[in-house]
Amino acid sequence: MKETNNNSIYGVVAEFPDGESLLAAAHRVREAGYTATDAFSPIPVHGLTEALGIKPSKLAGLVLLGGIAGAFGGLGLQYAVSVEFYPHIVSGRPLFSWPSFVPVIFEATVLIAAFAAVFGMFILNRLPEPYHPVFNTPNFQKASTDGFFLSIEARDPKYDASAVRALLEKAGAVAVTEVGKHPDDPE
Amino acid sequence: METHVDLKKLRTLALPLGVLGLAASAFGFTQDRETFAVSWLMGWTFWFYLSLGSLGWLMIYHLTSGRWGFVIQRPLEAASRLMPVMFLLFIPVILCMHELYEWTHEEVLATDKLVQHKASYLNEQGFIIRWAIYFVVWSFLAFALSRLSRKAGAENNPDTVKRLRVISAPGLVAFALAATFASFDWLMSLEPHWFSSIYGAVFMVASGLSTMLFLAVVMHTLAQREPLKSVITPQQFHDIGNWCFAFTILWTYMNFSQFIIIWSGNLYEETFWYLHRAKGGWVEVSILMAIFLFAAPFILMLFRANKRNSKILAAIALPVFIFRFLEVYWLVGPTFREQAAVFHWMDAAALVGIGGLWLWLFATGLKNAPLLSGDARFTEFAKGKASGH
Repeated sequence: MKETNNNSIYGVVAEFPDGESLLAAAHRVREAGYTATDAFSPIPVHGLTEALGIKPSKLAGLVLLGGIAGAFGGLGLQYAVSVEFYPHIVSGRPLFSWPSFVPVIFEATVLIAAFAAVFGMFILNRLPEPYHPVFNTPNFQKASTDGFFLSIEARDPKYDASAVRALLEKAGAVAVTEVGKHPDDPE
Repeated sequence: METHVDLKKLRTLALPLGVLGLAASAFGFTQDRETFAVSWLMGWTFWFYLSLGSLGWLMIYHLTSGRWGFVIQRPLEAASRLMPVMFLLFIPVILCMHELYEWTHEEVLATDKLVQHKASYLNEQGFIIRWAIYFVVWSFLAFALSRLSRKAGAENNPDTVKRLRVISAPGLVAFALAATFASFDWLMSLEPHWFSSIYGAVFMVASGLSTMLFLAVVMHTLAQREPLKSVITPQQFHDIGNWCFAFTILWTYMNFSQFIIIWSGNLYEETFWYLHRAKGGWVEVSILMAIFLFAAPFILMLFRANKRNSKILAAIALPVFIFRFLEVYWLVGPTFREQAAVFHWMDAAALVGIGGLWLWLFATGLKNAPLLSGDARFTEFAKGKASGH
C-alpha cells in the first residue's frame, strides 16, 4: 500500500444498495455535522437535496437579472437608435413610440434570460469539467444505472477517514472507499 | 388579509346581499333605464365570466386529465351549472336593447351605411335567437358533463371518463364558437362600427383567468377541511397558480396584440375605439389595469413560493379577481360615459346583486355532489400519492 498524505485524498465515497438507504445515510451524515458532502444517484431521490442541506440554486435569480437586463437593454437600444442617434419621423408618430418598442423589449428579455439560464447553469455547475476525482471510485459508473453513492470530502473540517468510514458502514453502505485526487493516488 | 371564507357563512351572507343589490337595481331600472342597462351589462359580464370560464376549464380538463383538475372539478361543475341562471339574468339586457345598442335605432339604421351593411347579422331578432342558441349549447354541455362526471365518480368506470372526453372535444369547439359570437353580440356591437377579430379570444381568456383566480380563493377555503384537506397538496395550488400566471400573461399579450395592430395600422375606423379610451380619465383606467391586472400579479406570481402556499396565493388572487371589474368597466363604459370617474351607485348594485345571487347558488350547488370526484383519474392519483411519487 502506497503512503497517502491528506493533500492527495479527495474523500470517502460509499455505495448504497438503494435510494432509501442513501437517503437515510444522508440524514445521518448531516446530523453528524458534515458539510462537504454530495450524493450521486441514477434516479431522483425525493428529499435528498433537503437531507444533505444543499441550498436552492442561485440560477433563478440569475435568470431574473438576465431578464431585467434584457428588458432595459432592449428599451435602451431602441431609444438610443430612434431618439438619440437617428431621429427619424415614421408615419407621423413621435420619436419615442413606446408601443412599437414592446415586442423587441419582450424578445430581448426572453433572449438574455435564456442566455443567463444556459450559461449560468454551466458556470454554477463548473462545466465543462472533464475530470473529477469521484470517478476514481470503484464501480462509479453504476451511478448512472443502479448505484447510489454518498461522498464526504477531505476538505470537510470534521473529516477523519476512520470516523467517516465507520459512520458510513453503520449507515448501511455496501462498499466504502477512500478516494484519491488522482487515479494512482489511493490504496 | 383574511381570504378563507367559510362556505356556510358565504351562503348566509351572499343571499341577502344579492337580494338587496337586485332590489336596488330594480329601483334603478324605474329611475334611469340607460344607466341601469350599462351597470347591469357590466355586473352581468363580470360574473358570467365565471360560468363561462368554468365550462371551458372543465372541458380542457376532461380532454387532458391533468393532475390539477380533479380537485377543482366539482367547483367548476357547480359554476358551469349556473348557465340557465345567467341566461335569465340577461333578460334585462334584452329589455334595454335600445338603451345599449345603437344599431337597434331606426334613425341610425336609416342613415348609417355601415350599420345597414351589418344589419343582416346585427338585428334584434337575430340577437335574441343567437342569445338563446348560445345558452342552449352551454347549458347542455354543463349539465351533460356534470351528470356524467357524477356517474364516473360513483362507478369508478374508465369508460365513463372516456365518454366525458368524447363530449368535451366537439363541446370545446361549440363552446368557443358560441363564446366568440356572444362576445361580438353583447360587447363588441356596443360600437357597431368597430371590429377586432381577436375579441372573442380575449373574451374567453378573460373568463378563464377570472375563473382560475376565483378558484384559487375557493380551493384555499375548501382545503381547510375534509375531504380535500387530506388530498390537496402544495402541488395543486402551484398548478392553479401557474394557470393564473400563464393566463395573466396570455390576456396581456392578446390585449396588447389587438392594440399594437390597430396602433400600427392607424386607421380611424379602428383607432377611434382606443381614442375613446384615451381621454376623460380612461387612460388612468388603462394604467390601473396594466398595474393591477398585469404588473402586480405577474411579479407576485413569478415566485414559486407564492404559488405553493395557498394562503398567499388566495391573498394575491382575491384582489386581482375583484380588480378584474376594471376590464369590464373599460370594455363597456367608454361608449356611454365621457368621464371614467363616473362610477354610479347602480354599478355597485348590479355587481353585488348578481354576484350575491351567483355566489349563493354556487355555494349551494357545491353541496349537490361529493366534493371529490372518485373517478378513475383520482384513484390513479391517490395510488401514486400513497406510494410516494
